[in-house]
Amino acid sequence: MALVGNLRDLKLPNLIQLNCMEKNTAKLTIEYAGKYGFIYFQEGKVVHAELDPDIGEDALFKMLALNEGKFKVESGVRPPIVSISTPWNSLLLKGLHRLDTLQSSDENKQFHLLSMLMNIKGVKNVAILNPEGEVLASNAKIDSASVITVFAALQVEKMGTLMGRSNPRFISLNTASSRILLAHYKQNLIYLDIETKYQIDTVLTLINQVVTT
Amino acid sequence: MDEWIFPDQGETFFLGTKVGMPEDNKWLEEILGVAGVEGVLLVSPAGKILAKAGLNFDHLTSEKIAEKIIRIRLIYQQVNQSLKEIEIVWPDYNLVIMLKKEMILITYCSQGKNLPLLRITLQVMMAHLLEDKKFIKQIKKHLNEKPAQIVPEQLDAKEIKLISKLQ
Repeated sequence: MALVGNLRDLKLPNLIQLNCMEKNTAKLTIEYAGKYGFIYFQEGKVVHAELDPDIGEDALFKMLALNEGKFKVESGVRPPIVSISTPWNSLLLKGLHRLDTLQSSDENKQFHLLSMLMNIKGVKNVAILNPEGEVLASNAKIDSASVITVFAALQVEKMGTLMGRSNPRFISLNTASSRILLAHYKQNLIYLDIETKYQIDTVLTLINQVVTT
Repeated sequence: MDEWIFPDQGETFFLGTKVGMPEDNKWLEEILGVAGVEGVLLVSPAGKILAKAGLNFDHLTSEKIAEKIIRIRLIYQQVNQSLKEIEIVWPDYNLVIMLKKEMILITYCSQGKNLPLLRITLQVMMAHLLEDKKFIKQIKKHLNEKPAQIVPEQLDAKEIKLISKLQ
């Protein structure tokens, strides 16, 4: 039977330590913000990790930054490849040391922002878009929607200038089947695909809390 | 009625003619009577200002605002999507924009009012308006206007670059 839980309750370094000390062969799956990460143990050694697009130690170090997320440990699952050879205790020390650096990087901040927004009920997909309409980070593929929404935000910005107003807090764009919310974030835009059945005002309040933190 | 004479700030106009408020125009009266609504702009699908009330923008500014909204509608149409509603939220102000085939209703609302109720009320009013034969007759000629298009010459470099990514 698989061991399941949340990293809020059992931290990843402890989970790794537990599996290594028990000399387990297992697959640890972590689901966070719509993303999946995997860590493989073989006879008590950490031998492989994946967190798209990273593999090996880099993937593991990024997962060490997670403070929450569902996890599942499946015993007896063997690794598809071996990408890590560092002993687990050195790996943890190295990882925790690197965490300090990683925590201040933009990439990590964006990852955390996406994760927090994805936790809001009613939010289906999240992306961070630059002013050129390029996706800087996202939990799903959004295709041409990035360009369309950046174009729309640009028109709204121009309307604001005409009306003597700065950038708005939110722009909501609704079609018959979709509701897209846009919020300015530094020089970029946060794109949120919201389930149409949810009251926009409730979602707005929660999103505002996340974006302004 | 054919000549478009546009108002000074804050005056109420319908199809280019100054109207008194509220008796002269039932629908303007009704929309402006909704709690939180401060002003309203009614625009044809091609971007002509059909009516304006309670706003401090001149005609040119109103037209430019309408132009930006129409561009957003058109960019959605380029990917075969039909935009129904736009809402722009400032800390103290909201713009609720309803886009119908026949017209675009832009409503300026003060923040802090009951927005869900306001949205429903506006939806109902739009439906009534589109069923009002007298009103449809009044705006009929604007329904046959040449559809709006994105004119590349009117766009800046940033906008052109974005649009080119869709092609």
